[in-house]
Amino acid sequence: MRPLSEVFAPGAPTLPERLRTLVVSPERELEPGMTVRAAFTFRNHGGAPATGVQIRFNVPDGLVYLVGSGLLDGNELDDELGNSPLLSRGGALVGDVLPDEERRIEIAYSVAGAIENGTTVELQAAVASFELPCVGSNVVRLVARSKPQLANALTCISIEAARDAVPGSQAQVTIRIHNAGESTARDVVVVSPIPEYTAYVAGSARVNGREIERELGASFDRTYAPVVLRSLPARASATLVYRVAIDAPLPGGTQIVARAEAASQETAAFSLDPASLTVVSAPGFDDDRTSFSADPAQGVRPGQRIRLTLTAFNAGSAAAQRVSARLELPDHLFFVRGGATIDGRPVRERRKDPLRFQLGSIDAEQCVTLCVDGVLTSPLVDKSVVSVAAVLDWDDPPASSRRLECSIQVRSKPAFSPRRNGLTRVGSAIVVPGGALEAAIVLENDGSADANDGVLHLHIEPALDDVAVFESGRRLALEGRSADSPDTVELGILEAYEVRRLTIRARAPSPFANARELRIGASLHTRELGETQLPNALWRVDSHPAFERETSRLELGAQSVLRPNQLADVDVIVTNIGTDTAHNVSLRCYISPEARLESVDGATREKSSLLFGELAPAAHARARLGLRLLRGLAKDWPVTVDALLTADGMLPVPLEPLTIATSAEPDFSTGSFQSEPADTVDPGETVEWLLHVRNGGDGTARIAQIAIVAPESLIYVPNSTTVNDVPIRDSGALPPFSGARGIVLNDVDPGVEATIRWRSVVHNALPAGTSIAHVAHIRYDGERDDEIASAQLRIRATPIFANAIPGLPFGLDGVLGPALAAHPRALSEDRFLQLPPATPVADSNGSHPLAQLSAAPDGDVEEVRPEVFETTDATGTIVAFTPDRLGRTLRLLREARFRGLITHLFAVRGFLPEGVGDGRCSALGATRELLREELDRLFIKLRLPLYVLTARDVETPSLRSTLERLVQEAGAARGVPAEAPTAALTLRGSFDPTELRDLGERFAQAQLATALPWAALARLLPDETSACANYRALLLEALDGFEDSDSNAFIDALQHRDDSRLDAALEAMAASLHSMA
Amino acid sequence: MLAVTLVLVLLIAAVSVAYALARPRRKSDADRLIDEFGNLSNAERCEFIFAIATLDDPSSLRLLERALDDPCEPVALAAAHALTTAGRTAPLERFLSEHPGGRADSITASLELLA
Repeated sequence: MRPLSEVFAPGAPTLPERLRTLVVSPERELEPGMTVRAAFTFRNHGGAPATGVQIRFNVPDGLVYLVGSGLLDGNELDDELGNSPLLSRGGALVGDVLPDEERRIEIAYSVAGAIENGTTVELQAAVASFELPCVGSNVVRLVARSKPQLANALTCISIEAARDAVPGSQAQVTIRIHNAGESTARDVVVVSPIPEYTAYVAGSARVNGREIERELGASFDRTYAPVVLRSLPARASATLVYRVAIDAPLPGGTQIVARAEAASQETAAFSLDPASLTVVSAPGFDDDRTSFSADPAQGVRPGQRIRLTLTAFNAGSAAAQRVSARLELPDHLFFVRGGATIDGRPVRERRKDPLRFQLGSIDAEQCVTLCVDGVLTSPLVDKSVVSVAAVLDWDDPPASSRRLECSIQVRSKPAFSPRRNGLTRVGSAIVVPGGALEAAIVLENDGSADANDGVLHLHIEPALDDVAVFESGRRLALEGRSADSPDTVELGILEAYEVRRLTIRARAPSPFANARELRIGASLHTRELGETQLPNALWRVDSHPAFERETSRLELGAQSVLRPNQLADVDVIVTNIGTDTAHNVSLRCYISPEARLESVDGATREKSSLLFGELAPAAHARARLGLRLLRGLAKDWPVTVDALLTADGMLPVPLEPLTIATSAEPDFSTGSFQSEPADTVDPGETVEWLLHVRNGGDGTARIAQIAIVAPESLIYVPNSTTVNDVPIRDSGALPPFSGARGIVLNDVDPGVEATIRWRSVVHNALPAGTSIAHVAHIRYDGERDDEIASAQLRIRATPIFANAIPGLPFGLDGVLGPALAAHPRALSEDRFLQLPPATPVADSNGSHPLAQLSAAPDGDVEEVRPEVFETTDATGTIVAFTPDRLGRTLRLLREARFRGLITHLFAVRGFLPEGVGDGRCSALGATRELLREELDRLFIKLRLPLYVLTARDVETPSLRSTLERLVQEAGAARGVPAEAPTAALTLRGSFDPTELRDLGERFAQAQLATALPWAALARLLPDETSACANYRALLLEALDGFEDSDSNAFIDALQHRDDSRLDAALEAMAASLHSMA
Repeated sequence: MLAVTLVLVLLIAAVSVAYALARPRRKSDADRLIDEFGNLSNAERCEFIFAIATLDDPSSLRLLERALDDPCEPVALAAAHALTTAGRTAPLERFLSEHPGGRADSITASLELLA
């Protein structure tokens, strides 16, 4: 028997029903929430009191004791802490029950809210006492009647996005099934179609956190009405969750509606209230794919074209409608019209609001590219940043926009282009020393940035003076490394496109060399560009030496009057007042022919020119000339010295002529008057008178009249008067000096002697002791009258008594003494001899035949030759060469090698002597000059092709007359010329003067342009050396061969006849001279 | 009668004016000299040069200077020689400096030879 405490234990079987007194209301079915009342009555059917009676009810599952409902015999039983003792393990102690005493115990239960339908609830009571084992009542079995309830407020569906319900995001659909009924719902089926605009996320369906697709065996979205729960107890909930992905794109505001239906075996399908999710969607240009850039963006130069690219990428989830872009360009960036493209296609040009571009609609994830060209303006500061903005506008949401910016880093620098910057000369390129120079500098910063720290370096000739730099009339300060050479001008900032004009002024130095260049250069130094070279400005100095008559002059020295043979010092002062060095300063003096330049001190003399060489500006040169008055002059005939100052590169300057007063007086006071015999003379004897008059003064006597009074004691011998051996005509029967004018001498130079000879016969009737004296009166210059008296010539007479003379057959009174027997002196001049006819030239040195002609009176030539040579004295010639003259002569001979004999005429010209005899041969110089003139012309003419010689090319009348004079003088010359002191080479020759005179006398009959004059000249050539002698001999042989030829033959031979032997001899002579030189 | 006289006077005046305008111009002496010179042969030009070498008038000098550039070198040499002899070296030196070359050298060498 089980004690009371062990009955109604869970799992224990009910007690055997011994008492049928338990009444339960309701009796069969119960429903959740119902109150079940149970009343148990028992009686002490025994007889003894039952003590310690305890009563206990069971509490079946699904029932709940209603507190305070326990009654014992109608009396409430005290509950202990809400639990009735009837339901405790020990039961409720009701005390003793007397026999037959009945007791009633009532208790009430409440049916639990959730009790499965069909659940059986068994109620039983048990009573026990000390004396009695536990007795069970009847078991009342009640069947519970209940059902699930899914359609309730807690059963719902919801859809919510994890974050924002944006297209593309995921949303979670949650279906909550709540069983609000009292019993379990079986096979709960949920129909939940995937909402529109979404897509099921595979594997995401879970029920109460448990995946169900594995159980379903298929994807959740493909199963229409899956059983999501096998049972859902009452009061329990189940949650079906799955995720969906929201379609993208989707317009904003799109409603995603989640719908579901639920059902179970107990519950018919019902729809849950749909849940919706509003899609939040908008276009977006917020990410990096929307960009605005410039290309290039770094180092952009002003003026450079920049491509601005706006990439509008709709990174949103909705299409952007009416998208437009608006560019905000700064002032430094100019929009290039017509260059804009959208997606590579050109944009239609709009005049209005050109910086706004309609991009149209841009779908999500679509991109539109707008390209716009811009140009940076200039100037701009280097390294500045130009910000460009683009504003992207679109409508959804309204007035949406995004501003994008990009920056352009500017690379800008100044520039000084050579075309706009320069240094140019102002004014003429020719500047005179001391003249002003002006150059303009234009500095134009045509770059795009300012040039800082501008410094202008001037490259100025150090010689320039007064250098100054001006700008806008203001003089700028010149600085430099040293105070002596300021060459720097601080210019500061040269702003972009600013033009600075500077003017450089300077002064050309004076003096300064001609044709020198003056240069002004400049370079601009800036911090940004460094050194910028500017072109140079050039001037050419037009500088010349100059001489003025005031500063360059001739000054007479101490002597105020120049006398013949006196040296007068003339100072030449030459001052260069010009601005350049005078080169080859030469003073050409034209001195009166009466004066000769004797010495030059302080300058180099070249003929009549004085060479001063170089003369620096402002320098002067002084030279002293020694002038010697050569010839006697009449009074008041001054010597003039004209001087012409020349130098390279200047006009000749005639100096003020210097007039030197001269004082020259002839003087014939000294002379001799001699007679031969000198002291005594016999009557009837011939006396030769010799009057030597000499101009012992220093002036020329223009006219000197010599008058001699002939004493009656003398009888003049007619035709016996000669002056210097020149016979002169008598004045009737009187001697010429007895005439009215006497013997007239013209132009008697100082020192010139005149020897007047005449003969007279002493009157034989003069008594002895008679003195005879001559007095010569020399009147000259009209006022002077000098007297020269001869010595007394005394008559020597002896008495003669006889009148018979031996041989005389008769006596003769008045016979004279033996003096009369003497031969009278005859004039011995050969010229008065009768010349023999000309003979052919023999093979000799050429002089012999002529000598024969001149000396042989008659007879055979061969026979008289020795006699001739004995009587003929050779006259010497000399030709002196300086090295320069010899070289020029030899060159001329080389150049004058023409065909024919003409070459040898040049040889005659080249070796014509300078001195003949020991006297002065005045015609020699004139001959040389004429020969030179004629042959120089011939030399030039022969250079003409096919030139034909004519007679006048060979000889002219003036040359003929000069040659006549020369031959005459040479024929009369005697002796040997003196040595030339300055000659480097002297060649001597000799000729027979008689021979020459003979040739000269034939001149009168000779035709012009024959060989005769040249033959005469050839005899004057030197024959000192063998080569010279050989050549002269051959030349004479050739020329003498034309003795009988006319001019035509000679001219023809000159041009066409070749004589190789003669040519070789000339060559040999030239070679020997060359070696001697 | 008066009218006829007037017409005759006018006619004569018109003829005189026409003749004055149409008559040949006289050339200067220098021009005539140069013209004559240009028509001569080489040898004649040489002779001409030597003939006027001693003259000192401007037309002769002008001709000498012109002859320095004569196509015939001996003629040019003759002119150079004439100028040198006359002491007028300035135009010659100017010519030689303005026309350097073989011909100038030849003339210079010949003048040195004949100096």
